[in-house]
Amino acid sequence: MAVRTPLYLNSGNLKEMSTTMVDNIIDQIIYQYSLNPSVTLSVVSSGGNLGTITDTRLQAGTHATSASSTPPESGTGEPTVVTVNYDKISSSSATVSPTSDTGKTWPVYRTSTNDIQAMTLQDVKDTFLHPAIDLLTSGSTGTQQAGTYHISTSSSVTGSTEVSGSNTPIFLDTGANTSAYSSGSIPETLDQPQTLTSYYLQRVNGNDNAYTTPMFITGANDLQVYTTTNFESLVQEWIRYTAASSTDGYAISYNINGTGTNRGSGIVDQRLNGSGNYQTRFVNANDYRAQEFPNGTLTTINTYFLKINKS
Amino acid sequence: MAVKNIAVTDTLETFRTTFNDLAANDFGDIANLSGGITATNLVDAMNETISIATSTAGWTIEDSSSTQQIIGGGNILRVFGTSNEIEAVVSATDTLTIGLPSAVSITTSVTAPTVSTGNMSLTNGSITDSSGTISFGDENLTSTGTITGATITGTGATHTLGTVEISGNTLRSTDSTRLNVNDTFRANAFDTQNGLLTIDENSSIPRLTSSATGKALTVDAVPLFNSSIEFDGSTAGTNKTTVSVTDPTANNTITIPDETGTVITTGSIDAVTESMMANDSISSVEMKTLSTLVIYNSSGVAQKTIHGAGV
Repeated sequence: MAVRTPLYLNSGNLKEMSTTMVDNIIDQIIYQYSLNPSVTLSVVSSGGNLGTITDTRLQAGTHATSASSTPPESGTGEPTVVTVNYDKISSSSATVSPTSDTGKTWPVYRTSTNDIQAMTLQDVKDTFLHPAIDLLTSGSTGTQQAGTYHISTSSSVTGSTEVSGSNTPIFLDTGANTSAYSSGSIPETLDQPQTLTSYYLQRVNGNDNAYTTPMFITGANDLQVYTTTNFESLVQEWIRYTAASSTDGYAISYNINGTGTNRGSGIVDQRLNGSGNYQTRFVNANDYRAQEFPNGTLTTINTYFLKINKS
Repeated sequence: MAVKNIAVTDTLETFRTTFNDLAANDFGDIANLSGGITATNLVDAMNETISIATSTAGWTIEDSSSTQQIIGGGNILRVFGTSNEIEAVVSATDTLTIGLPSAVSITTSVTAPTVSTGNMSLTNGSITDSSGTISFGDENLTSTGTITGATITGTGATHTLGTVEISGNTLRSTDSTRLNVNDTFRANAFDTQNGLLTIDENSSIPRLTSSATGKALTVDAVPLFNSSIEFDGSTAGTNKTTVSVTDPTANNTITIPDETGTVITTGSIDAVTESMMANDSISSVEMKTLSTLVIYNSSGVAQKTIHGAGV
């Protein structure tokens, strides 16, 4: 591993960048990634390849009737679990063909013999790209994670953009709406859910930070400051390629509850834990009814995390 | 025959011999006197003789100094000229012609001669006058030889020597546009035709002065200098700037380029500018405290080596 210190033009002189300057370049690389991420998540209606998240809730049990007397609790159906699967997140990776190193492609640095040498691709990885991936795949969701995704319980998150564009949740944690059940309405509709929490897929927005442009060796073997257009295009290609296709442990991927770092809110499946709220109804002397409604306390059945991973 | 003299101290013998000799040899033997002479002493005999000579066929000749000579009858008067001065010709029957020879030699002078015909030639080549001046009147003097004089003064407007004409203070060639001086030509000053260029001496130093606009002076030649050229600057006689050359050991050429600029010397400080440097003209060996910066590509292959001067 060789982390280099790039040179920049300082009032007509060559000077080594400070750590802050290098960090600013890394931030700019992250910003460039955010402009066109190579590993993307999208919200689909179903069939998303990131896996299935299950929401469960209780619904009322089947009712019982009698023409002579009120059915006993044992005669009614127990509340059952309704399961809804969500597979609304799909991941894809772009195929990127970045610019090859000509030997003079990358920024220059001062060697131990006080000469000037162009960075190798490995130098660039060690100095810029891999630190950028490290930041991108961290658990935070600030601008240094721009272009990556996280889960929120709100459709609007400052500094992020809701991915579907239409505030389409990728998961609804639902539960039985106990207040919707009424004994006077037995037989009540079995499944009368309510949404407890909606979960949205968010992408972190980038920040076009200021940075100092390094220098490179021209075709005439002179030293020249990159144009911002050229430098940003070059690093965008390579951060996109690294994120999508790195073979040395820095490719970005997402999963649910797999390996990696949690991103955003955990997706919680809650469900009432009661054994049933037995209710009866006297309609007339020939019509007696009973039913168990969902009851209990909301209990976390499962928690799912969107994870970001580098591998 | 000589004068005989008896000194006081002479002896009687001396007197005797002297007297005898005088009588015998100087006066002669009276016995030998012509019988036509009757006188008995020498003086009387002489007088008698003269009387006889002039009273018969003889005559007396006298020259300009009143010197007379008796030419007796029967005597011959011989008249001789002097070679190259005068000649005497006797012709029949009684003519003596005195004349000048064709070639006359006059030792001292000829007074106011008039040569009316023929040519006058001088053997010794000298015509002089005691006044120091010889006038030829308004005659033309022509010579196919050489006219030499300590001082030759012409009072006319135009004088021509061969093909060289002197008119007033103008000297020119009558058959050419060029005057040749085969010896050192020296003048107080030399001016060109319109006086734009003057060559003179100033404070014992030769000087070329141009009075053309801007003191312009065209040297359409390849001047060959000794070892130095000095510039006096606008303030004459104070400090000088000297351009010197080391004694050449070969034919060297220093080319002043087709451009406007200031000459740089080893004494110049902070004078050499970037634009004066030719591309690809400075190598690393010219740099002080050489410092080298190598630019490598990402493979470690040197792409360029930058050399810089230290302090």
